[in-house]
Amino acid sequence: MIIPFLDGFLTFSKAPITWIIILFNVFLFSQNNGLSREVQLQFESWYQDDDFLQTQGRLYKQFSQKRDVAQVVDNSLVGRLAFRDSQFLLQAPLHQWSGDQVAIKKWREDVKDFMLLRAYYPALFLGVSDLQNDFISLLSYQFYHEGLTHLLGNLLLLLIIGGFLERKHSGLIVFLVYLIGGGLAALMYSRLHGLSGAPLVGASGSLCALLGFLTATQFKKETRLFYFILPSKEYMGFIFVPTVYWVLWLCMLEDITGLWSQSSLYSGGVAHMVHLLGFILGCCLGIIYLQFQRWSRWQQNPQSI
Amino acid sequence: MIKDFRQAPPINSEAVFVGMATPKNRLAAFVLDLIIIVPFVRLLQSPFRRGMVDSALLEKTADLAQYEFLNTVTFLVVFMLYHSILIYWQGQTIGKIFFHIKVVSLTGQLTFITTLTRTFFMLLGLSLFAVPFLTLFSHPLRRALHDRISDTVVVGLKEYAGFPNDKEKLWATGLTVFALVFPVLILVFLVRVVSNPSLTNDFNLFEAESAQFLPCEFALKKGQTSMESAIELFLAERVTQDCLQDFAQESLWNNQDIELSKFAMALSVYEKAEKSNNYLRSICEESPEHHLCHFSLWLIDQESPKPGNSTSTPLQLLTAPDVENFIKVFAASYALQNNDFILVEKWLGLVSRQTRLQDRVSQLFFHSLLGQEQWDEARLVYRTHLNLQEDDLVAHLINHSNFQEWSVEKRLQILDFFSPAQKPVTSRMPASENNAESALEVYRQSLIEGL
Repeated sequence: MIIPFLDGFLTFSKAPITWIIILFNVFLFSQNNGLSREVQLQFESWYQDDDFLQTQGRLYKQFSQKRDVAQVVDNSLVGRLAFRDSQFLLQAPLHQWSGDQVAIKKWREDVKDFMLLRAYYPALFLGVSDLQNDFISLLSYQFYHEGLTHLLGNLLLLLIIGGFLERKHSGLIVFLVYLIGGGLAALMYSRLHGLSGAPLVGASGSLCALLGFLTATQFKKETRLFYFILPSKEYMGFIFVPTVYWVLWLCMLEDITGLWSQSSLYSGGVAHMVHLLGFILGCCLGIIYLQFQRWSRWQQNPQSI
Repeated sequence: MIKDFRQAPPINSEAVFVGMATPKNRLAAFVLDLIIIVPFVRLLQSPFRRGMVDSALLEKTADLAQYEFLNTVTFLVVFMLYHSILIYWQGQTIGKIFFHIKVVSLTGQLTFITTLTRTFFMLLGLSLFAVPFLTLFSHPLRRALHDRISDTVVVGLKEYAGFPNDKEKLWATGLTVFALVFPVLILVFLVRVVSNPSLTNDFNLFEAESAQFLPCEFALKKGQTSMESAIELFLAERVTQDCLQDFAQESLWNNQDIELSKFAMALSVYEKAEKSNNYLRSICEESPEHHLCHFSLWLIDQESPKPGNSTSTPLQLLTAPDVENFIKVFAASYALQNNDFILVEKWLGLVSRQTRLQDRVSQLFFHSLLGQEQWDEARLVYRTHLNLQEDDLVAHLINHSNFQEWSVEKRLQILDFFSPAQKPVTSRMPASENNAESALEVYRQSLIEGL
């Protein structure tokens, strides 16, 4: 295991803005987690109801224009995929379906309940989805996490990278890169890839923007990583590696791989494209920042460049 | 141990032979190499992994196997090339540089074929659960199988291991013996299980039991088997519930033979009462003349008289193993609905096995007879068809809703008629209704105490 460690876990006094972002993430999570879990438990009952999924799958095959969907043999699986298509779920009660009318009647009732419950799902009103992708949600999605592991994983990395950048540059830079990088990444994703009914949540896009900013500003400067090879004192410790190498190898390669191996039928639960877009935007912001610094130095002393 | 890779000697530095590399350093170098190559391997595997997901979704098993093969081959090729080329080049992989160990040939210069062979046997050793690596703890030069085949040793450039001591050798021998004996023990156990006659018989029995069901695709063919035949095969326990359900479902979604398909669905999902009842109700709504459907619904209403509360599973009765009995009971209940008591008695008399359905119809029959004050016939029915003790019967009568609607005198008459063993209740009380009520209560209490 090799993970970035940079300046380590900085205290609140050393990286206040990063800590405020972290605390806001934790606050949103703690406020909505209970409701989210309740709704998720209800959702589970539909996800496990094979009759419901089978019917939904057959109907989605009738509804979807995609040839690939029609070719999938497992109707339950198509039924699961259909949850991501809000247009299908919205049109369900009005559409004229052919087939097993008894099953369809029952399914219509269930879908109505599902859509009602969906309105109470925090990830849907805080995240970015095909039903909600306004300016506010482009900002709010960066602060809401679904599940404790998702939250902890992102926030630990945010503390390490955000704290490092805040010490190196300023808290304002971290805040702006976090917001602009994450927001623009989701916006570009919605334009390039299109959004689905599965909401986009989490700070990953913003974190990748910070990683991109770190890469652009540090580039070949060596930064600290923590390695753990074997559970023995001699086989764990710190190493210094040029930033661009480890960022590309340890972080971005995983997203390129994820994006390349993504099936056209099922895109999985991780938005690799948002990560990559966030990273590219972060790099761009980093380059702009460096140029701005250079320009301001030149303004002060034209001889310096 | 170095803490920073910048402290590592350059790849082309003249290494000084100081001793054999420690097994721990070799393992650590191997793990680090894996950490380095795995992201690259995963990148190269991407198109195959996408292909695997697509073929799994589309259930293209041949394509899936092909992609799985390519996936594995990619890993093996990258692993072999990475180790072979780097070791051929400088005797070290990145992991080995980091942990200051180096591969040295005992016969002179390392050739590419030697390093390729070495890597191949290393993979082979891994696939044998790393058992060949145990010789690292016993061989004087700490060589594993792949070192010996390629005539190489791995030396430590900064830190090195001494000769294996007796304790290490003992552990290595013990583990090797265990690794060799363990599969043999499993093999012996499996041979014993297969050759054990009692277990074999069990297996055969199981096969015989499952053999009564015909393979679904053989029994029910789309476009060839009619829905009636499918239902008959199911009732005769020749096809499974799932088989009938799939067949009926396909038929329903293709809008073919809708009424019978719905009935087949109701039968095949009888365990899910609500779903089953939905199909039945749908048939009844569309076909008012469908007797079997109405009879089934009538049964459901008997079980759960509250409107909308149909969570019981009376349809289980329909799939009782004894279908012939079911038909006779059905006929009896049909006759009962038409108040043809002679026919009811006839059909109930022909039923060869006590079933819940028969019990239910007999009870209804019994109460119908009581309602019409046909005491002798009622007593005959409860003795013949209802498996009740006398006290049970009296308690049953008292608690029945119809019973409460009758006048007190009539109730006492019935009780006297059905409890001849006790002193008649009527002889013990005055004629006034109030007293009769209290006498009835006394009677009820004595029954409860008796129980």
